[in-house]
Amino acid sequence: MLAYLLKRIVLMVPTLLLVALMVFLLVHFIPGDPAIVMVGGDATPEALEQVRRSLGLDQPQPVQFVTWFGHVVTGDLGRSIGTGIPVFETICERFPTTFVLTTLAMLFSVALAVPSGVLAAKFRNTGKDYLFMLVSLLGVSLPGFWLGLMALLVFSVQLGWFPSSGYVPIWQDPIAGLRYMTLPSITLGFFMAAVVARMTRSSMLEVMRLEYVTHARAKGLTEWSVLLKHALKNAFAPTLTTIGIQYGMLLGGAVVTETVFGLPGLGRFVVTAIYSRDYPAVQGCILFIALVYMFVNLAVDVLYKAFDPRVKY
Amino acid sequence: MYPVLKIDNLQTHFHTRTGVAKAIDVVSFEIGKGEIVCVVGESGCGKSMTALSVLRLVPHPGRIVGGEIWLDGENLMAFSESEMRAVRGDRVSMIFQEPMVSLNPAFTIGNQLIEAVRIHRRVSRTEARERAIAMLRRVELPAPEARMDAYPHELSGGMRQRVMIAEALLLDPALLLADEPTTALDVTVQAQVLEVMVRAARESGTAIMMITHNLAVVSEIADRVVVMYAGRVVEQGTAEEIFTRPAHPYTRGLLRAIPSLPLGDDDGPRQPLYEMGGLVPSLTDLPPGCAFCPRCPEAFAPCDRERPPGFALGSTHAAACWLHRQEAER
Repeated sequence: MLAYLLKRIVLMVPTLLLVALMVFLLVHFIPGDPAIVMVGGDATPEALEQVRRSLGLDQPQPVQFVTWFGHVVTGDLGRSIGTGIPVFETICERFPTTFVLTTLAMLFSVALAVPSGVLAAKFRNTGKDYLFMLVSLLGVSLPGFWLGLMALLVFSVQLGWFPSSGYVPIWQDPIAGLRYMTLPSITLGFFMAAVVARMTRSSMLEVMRLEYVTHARAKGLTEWSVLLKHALKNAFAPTLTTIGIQYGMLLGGAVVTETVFGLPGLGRFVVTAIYSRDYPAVQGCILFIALVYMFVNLAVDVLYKAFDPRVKY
Repeated sequence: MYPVLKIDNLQTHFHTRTGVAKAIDVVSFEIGKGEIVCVVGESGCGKSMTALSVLRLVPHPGRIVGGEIWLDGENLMAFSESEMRAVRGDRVSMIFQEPMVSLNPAFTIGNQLIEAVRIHRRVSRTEARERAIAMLRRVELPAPEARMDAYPHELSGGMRQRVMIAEALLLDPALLLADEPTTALDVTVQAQVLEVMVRAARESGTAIMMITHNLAVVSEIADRVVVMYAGRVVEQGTAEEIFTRPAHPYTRGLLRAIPSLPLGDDDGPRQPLYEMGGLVPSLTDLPPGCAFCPRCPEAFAPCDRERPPGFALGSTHAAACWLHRQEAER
């Protein structure tokens, strides 16, 4: 087990190198020049040249990459061109908000999706099943920003249940923080819930055809025990993989939600950084998110054995 | 005294888009206390469906549409779902064909055996565990204590089937439904597992309804034999009657289709393996007369029009074949 973990962590290094290279290339392929963003469009060519030199942008791109990556390896993500603050510091400050948002979204969606998937499977091909699947189809299809705006309009503006703007970190005041986080995490979690519900339903249906489910019924168990103990534990393993993949997508989807709800998360910072061609900030943040995603995947693979004991590491 | 099981004109149909598939067209037979009855026939003749019907666990879209199932004089068809649950696993238990997939891969052997006890008996976990270990010992599973914490995939097929047998007999049921319990096993362990099952069932006075297509197994263990074809019982009798005086052309065909090994030094001329011509009729479109008529070498006038009833050929022997009408009337 320990050897497996070590192996997986070592294997992350080449993946990270690849991600770093791709992020670097993508960012540098975007037309635009951070120097112009910094000094303004009407600056003299000499001033621009000086700024470029001070940022190292006059070097050939392979040299720039090696210099940047060299610093990354030693734990230095560089300073943001826009704010002048070390990128790592900004990540430490902003990632907790994004993490809380995505984790709450995930918890909400699992709490909604797994029971819906089980119920849809139990009532397969009846009105109830179709209703569940229709709602989940809506969940997949509705764009996050629209859903967020509608949630704000109904629950904050009309009903006044939740604050419509502002933010208190959940670790400073859990109750108030949760109130600010409720709508964003439900909005973000709804999309994921739709996907997870469909996965739960189909893997439940897959498992319910198997002989050990008939065997469980033949033991004299109630239908609910059969479904919730014998079928769900087996059906949850593929669902868990979906949840892991979806969690990674949530980290990306958080950008829109954070913007709509005005949350000071990492996603919104990345978007601003992209607009201002803040190379070190974009590269550093995306690399960090990739690393988080890799650890989520590792956690899923380790958890998998709890649901499927046949897995060997 | 009531028989353990009495199936009376049971009909189980599957309502599909292409029509009604009569998985069990009409089936009647009885099983006495402690008796071993083998139900034989080709795949799809309704053997397994008969067993699932007894537990009232016919899978969707199948449904029992007629007939009665009596267990110790009680009509199971009149039972509520919760009364049926009290029957399943306690008074009637079932062993499935594939021990690879009939035990839940996500739970330990111990978890599944303890659950089986505690569904029906108010006992502590420790007590249930001890009972399970004692039962594993009775089915000769090596190192039963250690196996309790093992997952099904850590056991061989033969061991898994022993676990299934242990679970099925844990509560001394009146009836064990065994659906081809040895078919998926290595030939070398088939006999051992079968022997263990029969011995353990005899010890607890459990009757067995054994579903199989292996006539060698039948000749070894059966007290009585029920031969099924296309959802109907075509012949039933004691094992001796079926093997020495088979009355239905289908039964005769089955017996002739057993390959025989030329053993010994005097290698006589090898007999070509008998093959029954034709195909099993579609269950959605059964012929109006005898279902076996299209394949029957001895079919005559009434066979394709009128369904033969079971003609009694003795106190225990009956065949649903027009050949025996006069014999039965005599």
